[in-house]
This record gives sequence, structure tokens and C-alpha cells, in this order.
Amino acid sequence: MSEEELVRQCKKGDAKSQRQLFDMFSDRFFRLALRYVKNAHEAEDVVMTTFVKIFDNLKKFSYRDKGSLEAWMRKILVNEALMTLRRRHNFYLTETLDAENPEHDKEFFQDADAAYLYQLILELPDGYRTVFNLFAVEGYDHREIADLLGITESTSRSQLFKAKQLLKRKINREGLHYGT
Amino acid sequence: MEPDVNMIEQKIRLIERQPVSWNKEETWLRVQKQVAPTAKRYRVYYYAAAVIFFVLFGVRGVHYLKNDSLVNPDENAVTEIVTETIPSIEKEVVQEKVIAPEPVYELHTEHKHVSPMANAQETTVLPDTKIEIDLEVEELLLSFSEEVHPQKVMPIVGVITDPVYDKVVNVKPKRKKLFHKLEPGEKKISEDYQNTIIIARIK
Repeated sequence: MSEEELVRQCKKGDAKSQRQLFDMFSDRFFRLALRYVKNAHEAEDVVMTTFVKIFDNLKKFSYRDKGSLEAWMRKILVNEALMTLRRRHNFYLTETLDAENPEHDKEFFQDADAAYLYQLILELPDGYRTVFNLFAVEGYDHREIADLLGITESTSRSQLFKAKQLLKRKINREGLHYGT
Repeated sequence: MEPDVNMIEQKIRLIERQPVSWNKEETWLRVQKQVAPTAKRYRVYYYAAAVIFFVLFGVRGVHYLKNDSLVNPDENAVTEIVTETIPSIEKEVVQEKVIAPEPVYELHTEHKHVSPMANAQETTVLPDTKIEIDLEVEELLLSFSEEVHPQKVMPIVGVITDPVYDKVVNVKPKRKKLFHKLEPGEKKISEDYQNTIIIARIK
């Protein structure tokens, strides 16, 4: 069954199609949620709430191309993850003015192992991790991040810079730089 | 977008596509529990709305049908309505008997057409029958339940003024001598009887 047909059946409320859609995306969504909330139980809650919202609002979704469904669902999941983070009362983001060197970042992350990079991202503090995830993985710009998190653009930049600095430090300390 | 972003995004997306062990089935069951009641809830709303719609417009439709049948007299329709309405009137009569005593109906002879209406009027329906009966019963009950509140007649206390007193005092029973004995007149009646006045009183 094609993705478009799957969406059509899910809109009709077909349980088998809903299950198929869940099987297609739930694993990667669990990892995505875990990357934001860092806790497995909370990540499961985020996935559950996300799929409930997906099935409830699927009638509003209009299928355009192959990636449109996943992009739409990822947005819902990211919003749910951010809401979970906001419920934690220790989710604060502060601004610090520092310079950054993108060229150096490119060299630094190019050869880093993907699984290890994923693990290091999980170890970042909430604020750094959230901004890093939104910017470096989801592809939001700083203005969008500022709107999503209710912060200023400069705060978003500052958090991203600090996240990268911390990742570099961890990689250097572990001696895994350049894939060694 | 910064140059390293695409590279990091590709790496992380690659990791996310790998299988992971987590409580997938349990999460799916929770999703089903959340999604199914939502659908059921909407279904319940639809059914409730449909029921309300049919109740409201169904009743009105029957009412209009009845009115139409009365305006356009179809014999079958009229007889059906009459057979439906007569038992309700009989019930009202029974209630009336319970509430009002029998002498009430005997006293109000000018409204006798009200009580036997249930038996006599089999072809027409008066929708306000109950209201009329209730009003009559209330009036009669009021007349029967009237209570007499006796009030003591208080003596008029006053002062008699002098002129009145004088008049009262001056009033003395005058005893008039209504009867006088006829005294014997002169034995000799004058010969000139033409000029003689005979005074006599009849007893």
C-alpha cells in the first residue's frame, strides 16, 4: 500500500492502516522523542500523544509528496516533545555572547561516528540539546526556534554555540575525534 | 544553513532509522484507547443530535399532520383523533369527580354541559375543557368553603345633648280622653229642631 493510500485509509478510520502507519514511523519517532526528552517513559508518552493527534487531525492533512507526511508528523512530535520539556520546571535558556567558527564545526563533526554523536547529544543539558536538535537536526532557523521556545534569537544562537562547544569537548576527551 | 548542519542531520536521521527496543505494543494499545473513545464520542454526539432532531421535528410533524387533518376533514383521520382524545377527557372527568363533591354539579345547572361533555361530545374535541372545569370547581369550592366570621355588635355610647334631653323630658304621655260619656241631653227637644245640633258620639 502506498503512503498516499495509507493516509486515505487512515482518514476513513481503518484500524489496520493506522497500525501500519504506526509501525512505519513509531521507531524513528521514539528515537526522535528520546533525543529531546532523554527519558524513555517520557519519550513513549510523547510518541503516544503524537499518534493520537496524528489520527485525530489527519483529515486536515493534504498529501503532496512522499516526504510531506513524515515532515508533518515530525512537526507534531517535536511540538509535543517541547511541551513535555516545558512541563519540566527546570527548562531555562540563558543567553551568553560568544563567537563561533562554522568551518571548524564542519571539520569537527564530519568524521564523528553517528551513534556516538547521537549518544553525546543525549548527554547535553536540556537547553543546549533542544536548540541543537531543532537547529542541527530538524532544520529550524533561529527565528523559528525563538518563536517555538519563547526566547530571543540571540539566546538561540548562544545555546547552539554552547551545545557545539560541549560536544567538541566531549569528543576530544573521549578521543573519538576524526573517527579514532 | 550552516555547512555542518546537513551532515549532522543526515547522521542523526540515519541512526533514527535503525530499529530500537521500546514498549511499542504498549504504546500502540494506549494510542488505540485514546483514539477509539474519540471516535465513539463523536459517534455518540452524532446519534444524540439525530435523536434530538427527530424528537423535535417528529413531534412537530405529527402536530402539523393533526392540524392538517382537522382543517381538511378526512373521516378516517378525524375518527382516529377522536378515539385518541376521548380517553383523556374521561380521565379528566374522573379527576373532577374526585376533587369536587357531587352537589357542586347540581347547584350549577347553567354549566351542566361541561360535565356530561365527555359522554355526549364524541365528535368534537375542546382543548380547553380541563381549564374550564378547573375554574368552576375552584369557584364552587370557594362558595362552599366560605366561613362566617361573627362579629359582636358593640353598643353606641354617646352623650345626649340638652335640646334633645329637653325634648325627651318634655314628652309626657298625654292621655287623651277619647271616650266621653254622653250626657243625657235635654229631655225636651226644642221644637226648632232644624237649628238643633245633635252631638253624639258613637262608641
